[in-house]
Amino acid sequence: MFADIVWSEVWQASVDTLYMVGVSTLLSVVIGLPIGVFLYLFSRGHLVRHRVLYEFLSVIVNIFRSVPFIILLIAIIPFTEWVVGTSIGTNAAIVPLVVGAAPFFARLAETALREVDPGVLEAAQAMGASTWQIVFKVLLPEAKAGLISGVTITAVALISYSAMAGVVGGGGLGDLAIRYGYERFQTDVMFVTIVIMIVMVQVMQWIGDKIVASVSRKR
Amino acid sequence: MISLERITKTYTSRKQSLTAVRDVSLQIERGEIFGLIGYSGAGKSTLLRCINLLERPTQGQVRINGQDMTALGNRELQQARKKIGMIFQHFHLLHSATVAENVAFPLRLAKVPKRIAMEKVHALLDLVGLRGYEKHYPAQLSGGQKQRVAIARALANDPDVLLCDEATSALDPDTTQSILDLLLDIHDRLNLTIVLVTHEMSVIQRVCDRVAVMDHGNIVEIGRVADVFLHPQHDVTRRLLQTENSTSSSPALADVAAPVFEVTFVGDTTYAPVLSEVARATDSTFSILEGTIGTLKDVPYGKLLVAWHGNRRAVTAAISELAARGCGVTEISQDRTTVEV
Ligand SMILES: Nc1ncnc2c1ncn2[C@@H]1O[C@H](COP(=O)(O)OP(=O)(O)OP(=O)(O)O)[C@@H](O)[C@H]1O
Ligand SMILES: [Mg+2]
Repeated sequence: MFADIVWSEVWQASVDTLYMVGVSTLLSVVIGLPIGVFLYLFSRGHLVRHRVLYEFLSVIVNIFRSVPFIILLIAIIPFTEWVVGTSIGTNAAIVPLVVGAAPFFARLAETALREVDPGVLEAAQAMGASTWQIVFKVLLPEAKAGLISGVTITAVALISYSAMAGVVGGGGLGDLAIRYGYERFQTDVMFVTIVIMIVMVQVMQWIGDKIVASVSRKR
Repeated sequence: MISLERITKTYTSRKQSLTAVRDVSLQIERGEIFGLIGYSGAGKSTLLRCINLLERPTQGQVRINGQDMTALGNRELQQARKKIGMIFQHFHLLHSATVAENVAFPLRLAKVPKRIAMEKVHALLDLVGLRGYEKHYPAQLSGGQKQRVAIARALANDPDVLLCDEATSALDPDTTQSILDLLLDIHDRLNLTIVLVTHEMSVIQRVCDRVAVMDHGNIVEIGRVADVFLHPQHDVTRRLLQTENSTSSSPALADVAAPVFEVTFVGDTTYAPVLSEVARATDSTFSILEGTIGTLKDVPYGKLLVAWHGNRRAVTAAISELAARGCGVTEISQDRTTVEV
């Protein structure tokens, strides 16, 4: 047991996973947050309430969220090629990861924003704040703890999504586990990769919780 | 200063429409402390929120300093709102910001340079008695302290008008008193016009110059606090006043063998021995059945229920003498309906 494990490959796979998860989390937040803000703004209050736009955006988000990731991964290959110029490799895996996770984070962000006391937004409006000032100076800062929880949940979900990246040659721990553990019956490699992924999830959750705690200690 | 002209506000949802404010016109003078009172759902908050257009009236005009608010574009409205402070029952402070950041918030919106803003914040915290609390977060403050922060924040842009929506309703009686004192203090210092919504008569009594009583979207009674307080005309006003003094039940007038009058005083007469002087002069006597003596803002007032004993002529003389000395006198018949004298 463990004797035949090529540790350099395990190391490389870990780095690939962290890279994919890191970059796709970042991009999912960058893309998902504005969508979440618009979902929130269109759905409530009288800032820029707009039922039709809300339904439209909401349906699009739901479509992406209802397609299983493994299918999304394959279905958007042409789009992936158009974006990164190739449909295989780690970077190619990031595109479907983001397409899958950004709508997911958008919903989490919308939920976090709804937790903000509408009275505070109203007070800002009464002080003469513009809609964008309300979004950037009130809504987002007040929802900070909830948003950070959302980022943590997204990052953790992306660890498991990224396990499927092997399908497009994206590498990473999931790919390693399938190639050795499943195709070559090397259960020890499977075991090691699972342990590493568990550790990654734990560490991410721990970091996320720490940040949330330090943000909300002040309230 | 503030002029509301035929304001109507109707909320329409898919199923029904509800008129919260119905064709209300109202003038509020510069420097006045104006109260809006009424039961829950009367439309007080809606009317108040029409002043800074948090609610846009369905019909009617809002003028502040002659400027038609309803005609302003978004930018201009935001600019105009900076000169109208507002405080709320539940304070609505930014939870994620410190006391100093909360007070500085309107200055940040107005892009005031940071150093000047900080000086202003310190001065405001001094004014509301919270010096030294700069770095606290709202969660670390009591309700009264939070309302003080909210007041400081509302004053940051040197507003001409302060709108208060049930600003003391979430506070205990002592804290209510201290916040009302603070409002009176800043009113005097800053020459503010204050519009204050409440459902407590005692709040009106302590700070307001004039009051409007609202019921079902209408103003049913309006006038100087002393007049409304001592001579309520509308049923709702009487009910609001009654709950306030509901400690004792009224005496049964049927058992009283003499004519009964309600005598009211405002100002210096309150402390003068008017009743006994008049009784002596007209050779009659009186007994007090019920009464309150208090102050409206700083003005002393009294409201007594007296039975006046003597022959018919002496009583008539006494009553006209009381009226001549500036008291309000109303005869109360046995079933408690009032008869003007
Ligand atoms: N945004 C809204 N949409 C629909 N109806 C509303 C809205 N705001 C207020 N109303 C209704 O308008 C009426 C008046 O409400 P308002 O809040 O002005 O009363 P209020 O006198 O301030 O009462 P309270 O003392 O309970 O605060 C109520 O019947 C209320 O249900
Ligand atoms: Mg109200």
